[in-house]
Amino acid sequence: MKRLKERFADSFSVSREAVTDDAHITMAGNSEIYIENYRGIIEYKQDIIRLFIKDGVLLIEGRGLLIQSLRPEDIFIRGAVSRVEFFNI
Amino acid sequence: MLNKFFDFLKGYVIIEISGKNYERFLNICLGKKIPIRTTKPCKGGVVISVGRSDFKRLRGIARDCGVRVRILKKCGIYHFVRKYRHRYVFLVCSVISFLLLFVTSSYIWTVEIHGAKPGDIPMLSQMLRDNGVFVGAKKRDIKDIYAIKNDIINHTDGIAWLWVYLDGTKADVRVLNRRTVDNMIDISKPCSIVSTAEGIIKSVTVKAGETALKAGDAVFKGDTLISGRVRAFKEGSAENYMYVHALGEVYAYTVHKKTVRQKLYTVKEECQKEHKKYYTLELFGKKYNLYGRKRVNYQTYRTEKYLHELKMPFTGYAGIGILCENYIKTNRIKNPISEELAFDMARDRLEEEICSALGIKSEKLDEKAGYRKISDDEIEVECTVSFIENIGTKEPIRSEEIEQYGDTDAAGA
Repeated sequence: MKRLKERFADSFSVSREAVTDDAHITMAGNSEIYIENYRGIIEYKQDIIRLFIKDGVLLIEGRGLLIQSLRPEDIFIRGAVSRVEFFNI
Repeated sequence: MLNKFFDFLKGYVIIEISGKNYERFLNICLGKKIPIRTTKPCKGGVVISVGRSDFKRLRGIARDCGVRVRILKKCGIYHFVRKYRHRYVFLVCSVISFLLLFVTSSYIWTVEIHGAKPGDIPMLSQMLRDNGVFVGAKKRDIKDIYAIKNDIINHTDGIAWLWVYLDGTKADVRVLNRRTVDNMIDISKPCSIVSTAEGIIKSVTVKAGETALKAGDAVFKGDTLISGRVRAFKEGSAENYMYVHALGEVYAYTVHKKTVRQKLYTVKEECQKEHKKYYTLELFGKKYNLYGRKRVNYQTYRTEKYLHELKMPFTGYAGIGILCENYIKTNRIKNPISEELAFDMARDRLEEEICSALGIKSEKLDEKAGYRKISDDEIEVECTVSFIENIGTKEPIRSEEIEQYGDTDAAGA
């Protein structure tokens, strides 16, 4: 099904995350992260944020991490980000 | 930005969520489409801000997750109005204050004139007053700013251009003075060309007038190079001269010499933490010192000035402002420099001074510079630069001389 959606997106020049519900991560330097299509928060502390996304967990490490805006469809994080890691489940 | 403004209008609550499952609490809030603005982790929980209407829905979620909810602060217009709804005197005073501000902001309280010569300011103030721009004038009575500008520009000699800006209760007048060229002489008036410096003549080109100079002649400052007095008589007959506006170029080899004293150290002012602030209240054009006498006991200090003006929406400057003067203590630190560096710095300065006094088409031929030490921390630098330059400048011929000897023909000799 996923392959089919990806092929559909490619053939109609539509971005994949719009069709497949994959997380879309945008970083501005190391101070801002904007994540779309996330599923929920697993852990939230000043130095670590773990988010549940489709097919895995996204780990963000840094200093003074702060969730600036938290909406059902997107999350905006500010702080000095030192590491972003993706874990498959 | 707009969202923040609406949140502020509707009111929002800053709450602390504490307990083990605060992440779960956040996830359930998201699942129930409750938007959460700012979140900040704190000891054993998280601080979040939610809208006033959404806050009521949090109670059930908190119970399910086993977390504690504590209100830290209630913000926004809604909570403010609710808090002060029974304070009638406060409400009446606020309304009166706003009314007063709006009434007073319909008058001009300050007229500031920038860029004018000090001697012109009384005359300009009077002209502005005649045109209805004065302290205490109603703003709605000033209808045509362009007419005021034109009137002042047309009836004043020394002003090239003028702008009148009305910023709230302040009339800001900006003046651009007319520039006059000192060396400019009317082409219809007779004049001679005289030397501005001493030198050896290189070439003389006469377009109007008469000269006896040739290449190699020495001239001193003030000597006549091209005379505007032209002979108009034959030998043996009565003397008669024609006076013309002399035109031409006289190039000469000149030498410019300058000396300057240069210290063998540079001084840097370093700001310290100590500082003193004095505030002055500016109320409808008058200044009131809020601290009495200013006492700055620092030996060396730097001054910074800021003016905070109260600006009303739509009307602009309301006539009330606070002038803040900050005196920061500084320490002067002397950094010693080498003689060579001091010499280079002084030579650059002298070169700039000499060259800034030269006219166009000047050509530098040679430069010599040297220095001698006059004390442990000072040197004297001498710079000599030779040029080829146009040394002629126009000087009008006295009218008595013209009356005594003859005609004028400024169109040319």
